[in-house]
Amino acid sequence: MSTLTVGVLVFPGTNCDKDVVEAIKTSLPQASVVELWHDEVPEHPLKEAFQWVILPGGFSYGDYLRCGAMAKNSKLMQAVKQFAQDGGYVLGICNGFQILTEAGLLEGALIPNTTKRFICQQRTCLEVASHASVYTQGYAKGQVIEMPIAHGEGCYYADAETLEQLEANGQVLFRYADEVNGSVNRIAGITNQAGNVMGLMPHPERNLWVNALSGSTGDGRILFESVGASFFVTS
Amino acid sequence: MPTYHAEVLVATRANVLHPESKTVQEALHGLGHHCVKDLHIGKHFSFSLAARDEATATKVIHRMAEQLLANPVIEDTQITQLRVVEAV
Repeated sequence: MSTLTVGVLVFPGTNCDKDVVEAIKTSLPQASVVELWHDEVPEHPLKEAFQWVILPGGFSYGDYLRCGAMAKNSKLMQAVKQFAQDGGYVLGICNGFQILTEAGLLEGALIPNTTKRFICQQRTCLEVASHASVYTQGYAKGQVIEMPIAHGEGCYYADAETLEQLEANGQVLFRYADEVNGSVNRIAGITNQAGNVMGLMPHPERNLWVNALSGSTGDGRILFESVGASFFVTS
Repeated sequence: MPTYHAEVLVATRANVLHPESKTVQEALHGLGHHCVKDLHIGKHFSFSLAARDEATATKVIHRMAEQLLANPVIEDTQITQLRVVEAV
């Protein structure tokens, strides 16, 4: 059994950080979780203190210029880039996904929904496109799961060549079961080629709880537990 | 070092869907301006900068666009104006 310390990044305007901290505490009670403020420059590389960093949802820097554009240049993000290069796990949820694409840690871009509206849905069905990832190993391939979504700029875009590579490499982890925001190939979540960086628009931290009727675990919780399984022996 | 005044336009590439542009174009059609097509909304940056010469200023602006002002995955950058405002 090894240790898992999770860093949760907080930018001005981030608003899902407490939910993510709660998700870690609930899903992975053995793990430690620390919030990291955007302009605190770590003295040492993040890799020395953390195994996983999460960029939560929200509106970092008020979404000025473009979603994620200001955050990508923050001091802390420079440390995160190094952390990703060193093989650390990096997960971006919603605005965190937008930041990771802006930073070039994930391919493509998130552009305004083709519906021209901010979409807020408690129950959005997703298909697990690949379970061969540290983030999705707890799901079954093709499994249909539910996670809430809440975004105005969640339409995933990548040019044809990039898209072909993502599909060929199995980097698409989640797809919307139905067309919701215009994303190419209904992409909801991807990973980088190395597999350590993941971004998704849906909010796993908002679907954690055991369903009283079915007795099943909240679908979002499985994502956190999947990463935990690489560190802890789970029952 | 001379000071330049720059006007820079950053806009979503033509082949990338931009719902805001599409909506505005449709609204213009709704007002009877059916002559309008290929409408693109962009971001306009206006600033001054000190640079050794025009070539350097151009290079610096494109570097800034790459780093922050534009997302090269979906947007193009165009310097629409670059003129000397202070020669020394």
